[in-house]
Amino acid sequence: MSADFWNSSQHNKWQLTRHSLLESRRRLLLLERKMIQNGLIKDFNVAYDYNMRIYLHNLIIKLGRRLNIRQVALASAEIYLTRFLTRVLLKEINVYLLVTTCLYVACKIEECPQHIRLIILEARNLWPEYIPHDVTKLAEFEFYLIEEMDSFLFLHHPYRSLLQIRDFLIENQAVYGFTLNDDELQNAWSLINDSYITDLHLLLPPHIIAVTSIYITIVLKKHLSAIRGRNEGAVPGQKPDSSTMHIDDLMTLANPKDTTQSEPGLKSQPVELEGTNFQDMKLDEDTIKINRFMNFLDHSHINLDEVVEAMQDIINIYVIWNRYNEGTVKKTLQMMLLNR
Amino acid sequence: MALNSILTIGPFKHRKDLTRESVLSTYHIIGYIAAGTYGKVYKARLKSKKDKEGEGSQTAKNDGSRHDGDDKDIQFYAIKKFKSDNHLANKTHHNHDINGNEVVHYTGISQSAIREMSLCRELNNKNITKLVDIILENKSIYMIFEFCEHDLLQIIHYHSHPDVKPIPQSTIKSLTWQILNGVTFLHQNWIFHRDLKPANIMVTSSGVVKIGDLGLARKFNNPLQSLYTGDKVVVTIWYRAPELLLGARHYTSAIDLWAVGCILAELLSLRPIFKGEEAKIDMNNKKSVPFQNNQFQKIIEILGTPNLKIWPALNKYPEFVSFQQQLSGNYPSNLVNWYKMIGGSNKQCLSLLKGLLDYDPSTRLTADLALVHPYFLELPKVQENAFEGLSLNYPKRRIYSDDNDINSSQAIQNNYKRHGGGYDDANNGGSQANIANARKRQK
Repeated sequence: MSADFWNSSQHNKWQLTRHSLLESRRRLLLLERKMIQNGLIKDFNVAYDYNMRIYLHNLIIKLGRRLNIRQVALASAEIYLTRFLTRVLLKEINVYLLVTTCLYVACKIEECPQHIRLIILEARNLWPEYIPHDVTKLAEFEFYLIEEMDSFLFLHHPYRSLLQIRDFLIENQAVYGFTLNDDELQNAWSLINDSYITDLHLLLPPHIIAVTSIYITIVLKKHLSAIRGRNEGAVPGQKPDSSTMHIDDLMTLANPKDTTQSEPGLKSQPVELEGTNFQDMKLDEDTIKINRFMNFLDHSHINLDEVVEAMQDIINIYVIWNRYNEGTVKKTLQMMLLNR
Repeated sequence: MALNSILTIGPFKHRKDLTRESVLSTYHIIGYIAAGTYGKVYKARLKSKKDKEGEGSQTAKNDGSRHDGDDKDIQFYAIKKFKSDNHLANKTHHNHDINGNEVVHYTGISQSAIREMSLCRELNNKNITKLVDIILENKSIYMIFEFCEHDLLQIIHYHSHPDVKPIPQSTIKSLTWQILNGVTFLHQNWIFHRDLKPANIMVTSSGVVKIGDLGLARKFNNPLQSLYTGDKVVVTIWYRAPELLLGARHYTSAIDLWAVGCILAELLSLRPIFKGEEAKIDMNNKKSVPFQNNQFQKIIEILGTPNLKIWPALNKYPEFVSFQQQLSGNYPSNLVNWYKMIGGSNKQCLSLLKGLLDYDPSTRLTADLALVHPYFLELPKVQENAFEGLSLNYPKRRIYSDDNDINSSQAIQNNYKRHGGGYDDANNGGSQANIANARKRQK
């Protein structure tokens, strides 16, 4: 069903477990070895790791911006990409064409179709050495992409859940005493944008990812203002923005010591998450906000283990992003594609 | 400048092509059912072990004839093969090879095909045709559905030819309820069908309605552009709701309920209730959609001239001026007389019909409310098998076995619009040209 995640193909056909995902990656590894042995592909040092994922994520955004494509289509394209790469090796395809194809299909599904000629023209402008003139190449890949996904194309994204939660909190302000302001909404939204780098969308229902993005947003906000309060002027006017996001803060959050603390503490004392980073544990506005949000989570019967799981994955992106070097990935791909 | 070797999807494509199960290795094609603008529909069954073993030695023998015999235990399939849209390729390539066979190029899947594929993959309801599989092979898309022996067009035809023999009330009631049940499911899932008509309502041999052909269907939650921008013309003219005739940009799911009203009327009277003539789109100016003067006239003659009292938003529609200018006179509502004239006597049935054919889309019955209309609550009861108690046997769907080469794309071209049939969108509802164009434009 398309109105209901629990009856959707996304849930019934394409929601994987960590184990089954690992299993398909293992199968891919075996396939890779076989293909190399048989001389079908060369053994290039190209891996589908987080660096590659960040790179691919950026490729989609770049092409999407050029065509002024709405966010939800970009998000769908990213899930298509992730799904496809659970079954296909990077080494046997051209990722630039893959990214273009994912976006082409996603635009159709999200009812904002782009003409095939236009999309290939813009892709060529970005990556002239990797995108052919010939639109039939893109159209051909479309077939193979859809086939690989078993023609399951409809998707549910956390953006809608996020807006639903915001509206629900406004309607029930009397009960929970807590709403999301525009900054927080924007921040959570950006976190969702970045979450597409991870496997989370193959593993968890969209509302978990939405809740996680809210959680990170309000916890970090407290964290941030606490730091600011301490080192007045040290981080002047640093505005929360996800792509260049206060990586240090996130790393603190992602610190294993802190996350193990957070698991048992999540339910009752979320403030503990910050550990001993703060001089005072004063009951300021932000702390109250976090407590109220936790109260809401308690009432919602949301699976908190999944929230913690999602949080670790999302935060992990920023840790890696800090060390990410676009040039390296670009070069590896160039080496591979030009010497194939 | 990109080199050719890196532009292909190379090793991956090769690997996939080697391992793909083809349509013909899985299904035995019995013959074809219909052809239309979208392509062609074939009747098929799964290949048995025996078929596969005997392959090559006697393939010609079991063609065509077998389906007449002992069908009961065999599951049949309707395989819809989409015609590839080739005009894009025509411009840049020679589209025939050295033997004069057509060479098909990948051109990008049309918006309508991709909607149908993606929607059917999600939908699972008793009253919607069930999609079994989708096979993408050799530049063609094959959608494999459960086969349905009948459709409403065929059933209505059977009851009106050679002489008129009305469809029993209990059957009409059960059919209508099941249609509404399917439509309710679609609407709950934020999907408009946008092309409901007798030819698209299949019925299985056990009397279960299966709404088919979602080629014009789309999701309507949260569209970024007005629905009109995507598809200027929707719904076959005879079943097109008045707000669409008035050029509504932001129409609602109520358009499907109007069509159901028209279908109910047609089941009762055995002929289309509003059989207008379609004003053609000016081929020199495809952007402007003509006002469907004649179709509106047919509606007015039965339902009376709408006014602001019964339809407060009437003067807000883009075509209101054309409507005022071209449809003079003030007709009174005549539906009650129409109902009497066709021999109708059940008051609740008339009330349901009135509710569905309400001019104002905001007060028109919704699908879920229609399901609990008093008509369905009184006796005779709604049956799961709409044919329950019928002593007649509807004829089986005609199968054309003169061409069952599912691989040939030329066959589709040659036979285009030659035959009618329930899966066909080319034979019902006045001119189909505009809808066909609408489908093509959805690229």
